[in-house]
Amino acid sequence: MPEIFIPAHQFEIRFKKLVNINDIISEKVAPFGKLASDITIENEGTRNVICNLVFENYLIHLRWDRILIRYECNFESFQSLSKAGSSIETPFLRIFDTIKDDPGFGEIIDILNFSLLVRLAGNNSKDENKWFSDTFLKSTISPFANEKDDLAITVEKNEKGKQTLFTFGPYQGINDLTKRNANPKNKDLIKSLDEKYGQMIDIRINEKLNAMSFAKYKETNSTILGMMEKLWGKQ
Amino acid sequence: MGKAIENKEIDTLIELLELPSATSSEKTSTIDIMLVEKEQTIDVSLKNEATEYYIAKELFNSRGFIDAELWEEPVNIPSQIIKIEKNHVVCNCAVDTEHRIFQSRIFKKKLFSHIAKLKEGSLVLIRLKEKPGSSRIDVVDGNNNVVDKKIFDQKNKWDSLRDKGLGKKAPGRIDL
Repeated sequence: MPEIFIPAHQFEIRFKKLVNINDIISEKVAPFGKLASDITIENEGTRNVICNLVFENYLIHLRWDRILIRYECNFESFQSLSKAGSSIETPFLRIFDTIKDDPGFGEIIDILNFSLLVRLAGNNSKDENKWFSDTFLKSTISPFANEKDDLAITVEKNEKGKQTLFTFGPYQGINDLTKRNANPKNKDLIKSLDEKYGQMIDIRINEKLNAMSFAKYKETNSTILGMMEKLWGKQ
Repeated sequence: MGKAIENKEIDTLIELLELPSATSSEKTSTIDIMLVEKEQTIDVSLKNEATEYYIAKELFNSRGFIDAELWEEPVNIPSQIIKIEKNHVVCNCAVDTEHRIFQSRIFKKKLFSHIAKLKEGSLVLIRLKEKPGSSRIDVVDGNNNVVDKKIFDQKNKWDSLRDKGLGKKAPGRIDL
């Protein structure tokens, strides 16, 4: 079975700007520092302060208007993020809950789930492009898309308060990730994806919210997996 | 840090540690070796510059120096200590906070020895990690909001209603 990798999975919670973000970092986020392997703080003392908690497989990033968790992993690890006890629950959502308890916290604005999935195939670049244009493009269009071009199809769906952007196309190496602002740092992951070919899916789900919970995270991930299964079949 | 050791003691030490024997010319200069033997740390200063690299290399090779470990996605279990025994600690573990599933688990007391003011009711975060061939348990102090106290407050409230006769059928119609 072809291997699937997740070179970028980012879940972001955006909220009204916190004027006392520096105090929140030093009082409420500090106790979680003992769980991280490293902590970096930029622009300390200003409203543009950025706090990064670095863990083995992921990063938690906090600013005055958002908190996000960023992963690079394989498919199995991606699936386990929706299970009880995952790092999404603790420490990510736990940190968010402590921030939300602060009297200065206003309200949640929206969430974003951005996931980049790559399925490797045994074919080389030329075959992937040809397969893609033969499968998805009409004969009137496919002659314009030759083997060296970058191909993708984007579907945008807008519902009340929710926007989903689904882009898929051939994967032609690490440059395809860089174009989508995914620059993996994990050496094993880079080795698995460099100079390899296959297909890629870029999914972005943006939804306006009043309350955030682990169930909501699981719902967005379930949507992503459902879309992936429709294209690549059940894994 | 360590103490100067005479040549006779160097021979004994080398024999005890099963190190390769040093020649007489190598016993005159200085090296520092930090040895980790199970849970004991032996700090030894030997006068032997010439074999410094060789001994250090041998030690690392025999002990298996681990640079970085790549664990699979960890499982984080918020827990509350319910009983502290002589050699064990019993914890109430929230294995699924969403569906409110709790389990009582017993751990060795040594895993909690780093936590200041350990007492019944203390909150801890149990982190379980695995990778092929290995597993690891880390216990983290859960106070200062690392673990949400409310998870256990609600359970404790429900537990306090146990055996209060709430399951009994009302004797008759109740007029409010």
